[in-house]
Amino acid sequence: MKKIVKIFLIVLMLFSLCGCSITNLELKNRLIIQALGIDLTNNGVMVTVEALNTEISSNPNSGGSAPDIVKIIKVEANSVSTAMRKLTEIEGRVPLLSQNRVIVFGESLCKKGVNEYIDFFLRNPQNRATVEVAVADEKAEDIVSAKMGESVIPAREIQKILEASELNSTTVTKTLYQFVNDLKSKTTSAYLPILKAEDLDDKKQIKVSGTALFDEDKYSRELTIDETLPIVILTNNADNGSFFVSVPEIESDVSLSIIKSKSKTNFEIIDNKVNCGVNIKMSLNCLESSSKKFSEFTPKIIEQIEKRTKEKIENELKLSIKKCFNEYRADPFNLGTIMWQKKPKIFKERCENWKDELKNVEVNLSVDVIIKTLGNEALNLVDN
Amino acid sequence: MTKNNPIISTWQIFSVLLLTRLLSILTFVPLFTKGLNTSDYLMAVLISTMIILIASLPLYYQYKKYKNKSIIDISEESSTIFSKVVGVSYALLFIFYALTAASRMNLFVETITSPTSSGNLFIVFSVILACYGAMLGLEAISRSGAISFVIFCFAFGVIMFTMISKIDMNNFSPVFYNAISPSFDAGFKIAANTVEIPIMAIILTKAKGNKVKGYFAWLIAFCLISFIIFFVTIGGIGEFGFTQLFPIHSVAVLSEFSLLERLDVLLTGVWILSAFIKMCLLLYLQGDILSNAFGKSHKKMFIIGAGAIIIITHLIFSKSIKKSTMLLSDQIKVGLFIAFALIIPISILAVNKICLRKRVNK
Repeated sequence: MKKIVKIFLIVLMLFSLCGCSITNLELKNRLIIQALGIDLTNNGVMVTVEALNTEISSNPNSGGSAPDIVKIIKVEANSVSTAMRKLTEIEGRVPLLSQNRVIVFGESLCKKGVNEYIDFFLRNPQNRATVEVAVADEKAEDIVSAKMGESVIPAREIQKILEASELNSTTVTKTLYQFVNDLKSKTTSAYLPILKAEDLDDKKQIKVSGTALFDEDKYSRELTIDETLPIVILTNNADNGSFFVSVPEIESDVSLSIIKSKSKTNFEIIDNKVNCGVNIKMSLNCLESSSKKFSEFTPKIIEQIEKRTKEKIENELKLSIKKCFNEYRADPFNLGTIMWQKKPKIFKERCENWKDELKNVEVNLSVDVIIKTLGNEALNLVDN
Repeated sequence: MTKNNPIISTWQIFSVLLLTRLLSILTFVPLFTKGLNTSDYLMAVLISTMIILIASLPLYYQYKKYKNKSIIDISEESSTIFSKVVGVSYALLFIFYALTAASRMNLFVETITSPTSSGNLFIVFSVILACYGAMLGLEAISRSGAISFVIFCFAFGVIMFTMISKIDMNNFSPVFYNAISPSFDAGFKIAANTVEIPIMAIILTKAKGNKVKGYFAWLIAFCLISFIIFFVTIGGIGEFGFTQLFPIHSVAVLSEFSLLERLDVLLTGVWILSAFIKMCLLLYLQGDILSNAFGKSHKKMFIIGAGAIIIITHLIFSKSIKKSTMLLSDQIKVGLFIAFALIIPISILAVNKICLRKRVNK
């Protein structure tokens, strides 16, 4: 009798607790979202969804043409969640957010403030905290619905483009949880990469055109790619990045890549002013030189390159910090958080309102540059 | 008086108790810890350990003075009616904690794993199976608990290991930035989830081995593992974690290793297993206490009855989030913790001492 009861219970559990027991939740009946764009409209929001066309094929290598692989659906509603529900009405499938790779916010929405539109993603347990977040230079719809060629899932490409910041250090990347942390921070200003869609023959090319700087939850300023580098360096994300330096002493432009970059920040009160000392240690590799006069990089020349690099980095960082602190009243460099961590007492006494204190903060920068390697070239083309 | 023949090893029982204690950390809900900065949670864990240690002093006195007697046995020495009242109150405490374990599991199922459907069926089955588990006895529960603890350690190790590279030190706040009191408050709330002290007051008589050593190993392991869990949560996702109903689960979602993504399933599995073991143990204990007080032959009936109470109460409270948060509220648990870790044991020990003195005087 006991055995029969046990078997009955096991069978009952097997059939009643199955995750896919509700037929509309089976994978073939789900709308597998790959990218999501949200734009502001007069009536609320326009949600543009890039979803896998599961009826044709989920495998991009199976020979299907571009329109077959993904489909674009646009829904207008008063909120993101209503739009997601409307998707079910249009498609007859329940949206699956767990496979979403990118969330793109439209420029106008970001300027209005993202907080009220991000709530849906915090509440929905399907949504991954590691999904990439970006701002469209105009409409999110243009980015999400961009056709990037045959057998290409645009969302995957966009994700790769955003994640490439780790390889180039000229752009930034933010996942949802990092962006939310920045939005909640009392000191650090949130920022997101800006995506731009450009025409390239009969298809679109998407690129990161800059960085959107937020004032609380509102997009306030656009930083160019050049203005982004200081953020990347000061937040210790500059490994693998590259830049060039003009070295008049050898009448040459030298391209350098960052092998390792590490910044250390200290705070002191000098003359009743917050003094922020930032020291950056950077080791570099020489990628290319346009010099035609010198056959070898002698120690003296290397010293010149290091000196010019130091000057360039210091100037760019100083300019960028000054601009952000004094003009934009923003701190995307995390300096406020570091001060909060290192000098909590001083911070509490005088920097509780970090934004107001920014204009009084004196930043002293020092960059130590070491050229560690010169590449694989043993001989130059032109003799000394 | 009940016979307390040691049937399980101290290490087995403490590994089960560690598992049940860590369940409260894994299912930590940051609803009642507002105003806390990230690093304050780490301090709260250390403070909670100190509070648990202090709250265990009556327990230490109990086992030092009365060796192999549970708190019910000691109360029985004073008066049979008194011991029945004590037994019923302990049984109700264990039923309440089994209910909260089920309720928290339901909240997790309905919020995270299956938001579109009701978790009631799952909870009903779990409680029925926990009743069955409780009927198998303490030996079976401790053995399966010890095995579950090994599985827990494996899952915990994997998730923590994969998260190391994602730790960002910028996510940590200075400690006690907003004053020490919020950390103490949170530490007290974490400690208040320790039903294991009343459990120890009853169950340790059935364990063989060095109990003091086992207790300290339990406490240190609890402190260390909880500290690591919070450290990785804060370092991994920072403030974002505390915007989520189950922060520890949110961190597990982030963990990935090579091709293996979303290792949160490991945590979910361990979580359900731990909740099941906890329910089994609590149902067994209340059944054991009540059967000792009101008749040994009714043990199974007491377990089934408690299971029915849990199911009915759960179904009533799970109807709305307002009601279910009442069960999750730390205020009730703080009250119960003070009562069952300190006030009741101290009162029982004091009454016993007075009664013994009176008998000696007579």
